[in-house]
Amino acid sequence: MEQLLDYAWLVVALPFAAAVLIGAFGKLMPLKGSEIGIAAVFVAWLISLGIGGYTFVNGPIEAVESSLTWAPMGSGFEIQLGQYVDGLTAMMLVLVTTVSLGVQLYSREYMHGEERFTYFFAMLSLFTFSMLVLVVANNTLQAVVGWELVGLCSFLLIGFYWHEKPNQDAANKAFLTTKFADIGLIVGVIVLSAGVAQTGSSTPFDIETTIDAAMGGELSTATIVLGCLMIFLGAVGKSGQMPLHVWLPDAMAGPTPVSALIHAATMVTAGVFLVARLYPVFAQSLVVMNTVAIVGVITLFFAGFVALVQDDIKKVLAYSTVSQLGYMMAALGVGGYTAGIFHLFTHGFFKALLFLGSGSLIHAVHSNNMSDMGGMRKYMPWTFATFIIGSLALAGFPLTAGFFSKDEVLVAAQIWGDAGFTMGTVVFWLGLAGAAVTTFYMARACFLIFFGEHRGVHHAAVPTHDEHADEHTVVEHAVEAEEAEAAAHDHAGAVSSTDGHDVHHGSPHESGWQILVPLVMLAVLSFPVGFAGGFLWDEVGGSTERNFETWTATHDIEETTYPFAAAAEAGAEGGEAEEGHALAGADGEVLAAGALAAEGGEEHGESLHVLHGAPEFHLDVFVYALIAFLVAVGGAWVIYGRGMPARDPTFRLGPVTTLLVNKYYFDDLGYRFVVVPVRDKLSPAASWTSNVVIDGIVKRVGGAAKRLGAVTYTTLDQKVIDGGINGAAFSAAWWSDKLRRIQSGDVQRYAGALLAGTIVLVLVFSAAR
Amino acid sequence: MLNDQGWLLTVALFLPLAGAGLMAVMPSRADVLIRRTAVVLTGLAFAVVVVITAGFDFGDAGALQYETTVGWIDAIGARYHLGIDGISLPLFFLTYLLTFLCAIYTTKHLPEPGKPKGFLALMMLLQTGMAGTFVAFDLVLFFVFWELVLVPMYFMIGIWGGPRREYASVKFFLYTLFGSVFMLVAFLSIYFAARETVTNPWDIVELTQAAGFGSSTFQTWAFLGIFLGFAIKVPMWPFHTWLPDAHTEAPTVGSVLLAGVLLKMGTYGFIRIALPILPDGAMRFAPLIGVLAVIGIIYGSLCCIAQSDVKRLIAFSSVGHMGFVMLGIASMTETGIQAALYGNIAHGVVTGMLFFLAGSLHERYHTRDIATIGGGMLVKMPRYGALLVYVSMASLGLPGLAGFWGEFTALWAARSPAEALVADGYSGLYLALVIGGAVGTVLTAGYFLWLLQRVGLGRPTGKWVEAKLADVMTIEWVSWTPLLLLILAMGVAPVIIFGVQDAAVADLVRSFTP
Amino acid sequence: MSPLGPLILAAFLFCVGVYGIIARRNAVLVLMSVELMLNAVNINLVAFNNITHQGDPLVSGQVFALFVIAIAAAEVGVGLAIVLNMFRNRASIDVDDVDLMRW
Repeated sequence: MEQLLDYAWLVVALPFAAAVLIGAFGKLMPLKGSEIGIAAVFVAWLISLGIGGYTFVNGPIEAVESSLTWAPMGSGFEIQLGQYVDGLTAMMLVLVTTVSLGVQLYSREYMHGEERFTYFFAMLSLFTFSMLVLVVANNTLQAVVGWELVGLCSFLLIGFYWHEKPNQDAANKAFLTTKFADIGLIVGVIVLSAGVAQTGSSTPFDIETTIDAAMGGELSTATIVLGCLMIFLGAVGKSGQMPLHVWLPDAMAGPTPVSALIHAATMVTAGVFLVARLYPVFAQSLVVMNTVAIVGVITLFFAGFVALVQDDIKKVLAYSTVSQLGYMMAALGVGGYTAGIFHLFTHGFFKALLFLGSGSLIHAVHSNNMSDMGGMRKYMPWTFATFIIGSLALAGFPLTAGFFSKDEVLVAAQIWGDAGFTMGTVVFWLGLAGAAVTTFYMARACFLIFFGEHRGVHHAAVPTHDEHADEHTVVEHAVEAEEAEAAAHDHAGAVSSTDGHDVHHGSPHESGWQILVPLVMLAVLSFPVGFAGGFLWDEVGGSTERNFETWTATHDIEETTYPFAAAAEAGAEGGEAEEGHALAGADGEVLAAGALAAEGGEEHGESLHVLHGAPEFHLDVFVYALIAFLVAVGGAWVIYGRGMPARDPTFRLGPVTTLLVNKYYFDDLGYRFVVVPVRDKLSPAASWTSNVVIDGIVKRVGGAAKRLGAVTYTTLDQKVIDGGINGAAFSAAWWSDKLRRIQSGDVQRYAGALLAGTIVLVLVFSAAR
Repeated sequence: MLNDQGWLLTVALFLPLAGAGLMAVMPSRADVLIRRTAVVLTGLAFAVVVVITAGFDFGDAGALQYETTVGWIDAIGARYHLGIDGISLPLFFLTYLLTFLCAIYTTKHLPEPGKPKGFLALMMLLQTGMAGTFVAFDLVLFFVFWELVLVPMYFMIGIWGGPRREYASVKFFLYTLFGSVFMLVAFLSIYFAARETVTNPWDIVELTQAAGFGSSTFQTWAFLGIFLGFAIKVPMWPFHTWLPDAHTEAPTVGSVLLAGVLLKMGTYGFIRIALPILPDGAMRFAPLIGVLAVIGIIYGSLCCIAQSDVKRLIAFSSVGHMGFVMLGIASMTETGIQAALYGNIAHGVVTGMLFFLAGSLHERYHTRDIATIGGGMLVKMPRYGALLVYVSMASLGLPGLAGFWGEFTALWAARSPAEALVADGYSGLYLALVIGGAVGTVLTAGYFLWLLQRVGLGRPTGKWVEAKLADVMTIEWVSWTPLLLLILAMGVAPVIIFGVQDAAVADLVRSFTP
Repeated sequence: MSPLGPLILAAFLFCVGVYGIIARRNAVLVLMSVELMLNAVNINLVAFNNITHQGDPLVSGQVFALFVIAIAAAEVGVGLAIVLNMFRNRASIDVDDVDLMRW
């Protein structure tokens, strides 16, 4: 089994081979290339399960790293291509291949009859490959490569229906927003690796080397802070953290399976993953940790509210994704390494489930709008059941996956707060509030979709439009309207081609097995992935010795210390020696992130193992969370339980509604203060400068040269110099005209002259004598 | 060993010249025959270069191979000194490959007023000039080849160009010549400064070995002169304004060679001559070069956003890309020079390909105006549109394709510039340059995506709905496929360029950094 | 023997010749004047041979005089032929009419 880890590259290579094969021969295959993609990802999934199983059973394992030189880059530095397999990698492999397998199977039916069906599958495989390149990367540069490639696939898939302008805009927005954030990623990677290079390493991008250098104190604080903050900026873009989340809701313009795979389960977690991957480096600076936590908590708290005013089911889920990504980031920012990636893991499953469920609904109703649904429980029992499971998991209903992971995040925040870091407390309470909001909008969505009467596309569309029209008086700008269109077009694009074989236009009906199997698979998985956390593991026959934490912890993580903890703790605890000891733990003055609960023993106190350790049951957290859940569900039932209210109360909040409908104006700000200035002001200005100023100088130099030339020619050249030359010629002519007259042709005159000359010569010579 | 057969290099170099002569005596009515002969001749020259490459000892890429040294102008001591090393080889190879592909392309596409005889003869003359620049190791010889390039390009633009061809060609010629004059003066000053200590004061190799001669003032002024000559050719901001005009007006083949090879002569000159021979001057100018480079990156990208002509947009993108190349040089480190040379080749391949595409676009739509085309290319010409997407992605620096490595390593190198620069306190400036360069990558992505959206995506509008537009033709596939493959190969296996250059760059940098 | 007599004779003849060349218009007379000058030279050659090279076995003065006579005969031949041609073309032998070589 252990050798399997050496073949992790196969997991990466298979989807790539599939993408190439589909591209080359897909159209010739009986199932239009989909079978190649599914087969490849199935094998990759099996290998991933093997790797996951091995690392889970034997975790925490020493990372298995292997690499080859990709290229020399001068001064003895090398660019490597390699794999780095540890628990975190294994976890991501399992997640990515599982969701990818489900989504590809699902797409067989969902995308059936689509004109570019084969292309779609090639892109799915290419995306899976790209994501896996990032996941197995043993160096940051390879991570950048994978990172950019997933961005490309995301762009191509969001713009899958590129005939329509809104979809193009959404794709461009996604690519450019994340690309903007990639300034951070690239600069961050460069700063960190240049720092590592100065320590004498020949492989400056190597993650292991970077972590060792950071933990060994070989990197300057400036390098770490700048590098980490910059990389975090990249993560903010990719993982949809505020304020760069704006692309993610628009990205729903892509086909629903794409939203499930890329914009919910895998790609958007890349930022979280990268922060987790470099966690020991991030942990070196409180500034960095606090930044991560603040951005995370802002995202988790504020994004959820926007979901309250959405009618488009995919937009609701998109904002929910943004919010959940905020949870993950916030957890990492408050020392909850395990909590953060655990939430990443569970979220991947249930959010994919929810998106696929929404796709099933959209497929049946031919509309993205919840106002067009209602009563779907009767028509689509399987979809209903699985969607409810997903929603409960997202809302954190006890015993579902989301419950375990969200609780773990909150517990981590609580303990971080108890250790004297204010951010922990902030994250805890805002996280709790965010959980209530999440529950509320999911309950709203479920009630609107599945309960009450089926409203259908036609008669329900009018009031909804009115609702929006009210708000549009305030919104008053075109982007908003375009986005509304985008949604409509998406639905039209996604479903139009399925119209042919879809005979039931009147009442919706349940989707086929290829859609339901992934739904059921993910719904079933929504439970065990939560139990993997280890919480209650003993009660269901497992062991707390083997849980998500031991799976994903690496030795680096275990050895990670927070250098700033000692100082903070000294400030927080003052002279109380005993408590100080409890916090400092066995490692002396530093708070050890890596010490396992088991090793730590009683005297370590709670603060040690939250940061990284088996989650334990905090009754107060559980109670708070449960209260939040019940209140939110109850509230939603009161408002939406009897079907669509005539006027949605979330639209009756005056300025708040305005704010939410406009998505806190982030899109406007971005459009008005970035896109417009750059596109309509700066670049024409630059172009003008080039054409008028710089080229003007060039032309003026040319013109001056021309004028100088004219002056030179007419006065200096023509008059002075040429005048002299011509004068010489003319005078020669004049003189010769005079002189030639001697040449009379009269020989006798010549002879006389000869005689005279001779006489003169004789006289001269005789005189000279 | 094959690699001491210096005559092979001479054959490769003068085969096109002989070809140009042969072209000149062929009857101008034999249109097809002339075009085919050109393909055969450039193909033959390319084959010789393939043989040279095959015989090249990659294990010893730092040393000059295929060396020839013959007395030439004894009165001034100039010699006919040719050779090739890891730095020259990729550029030399690219020159022959691109010319060969251009010859193939010309069998079907030739702009008004036709006359393939003159066109192809000029192209082959140009080839000799370009290739010679990369293998000449004598300053006089280098200068001769350098200037030789101007004439055929002048005529190519001036005769076969667009509506403003006279203006563009004269501007191109004069601007470049303006720079060369300063360069020549600098060469002369190097000659006189080195005469005391160097046996052959025109010889680049010997001058490199003797680097550091002359006073500090001399180095500064001499570098300034060389800088002007090369910076105009690159072109660096703010010496770039000849480029958009020349590119826009030049015929497709002219643009391809201009972007693919001619611009590289400038950066090659910096790396081969300016840096090693005048290290002190270079070190003094490096921060300035870096600043100008980053201004060029951001500025070029911004200008691209504002363009309405596809070809002019691509031309301006060259300003940005060459900025990355110059940023690599400005770091004065091995990695930086590696990055610069890589970026050179990548830009040659990618932008050369983009100009091919722009040329074919014009042949189909008979306009290059983005608004007039108005989208829907992917509907009308799916293959062609896909190629445009592919090459644009390569150009905007997507990893896995050619553009990425040059940009990334250039930025990386700028973060860790030469120690002398760090000692002078330029570390902070260079960090700002890194960030500026990274911002440039986003702008680059921005204008390419916007171009693709406006040209490629959506549905065809207006008169294009009914128009018959031919998708990629066979001859285009033939002449483009090598470039398309090269773009992918360079992205997937950057070692094919980095590996070749590594030893040569290491030797070069060692010669001027203590 | 005093050399004075032959030298005065030679000078006289030469002056007559010069005068004839410069002043006469008739081409035949000009030719004859040339002959006079040549003969003056011949007299000088013979006279100076006797004065300065007394006993010279080669008698080079006289030999030179013979050469000059031979050349003078040839000259007269060519000169008269030219004059004859001139007369045939122009019906005149006045040298003032022959100014084709003027500017």
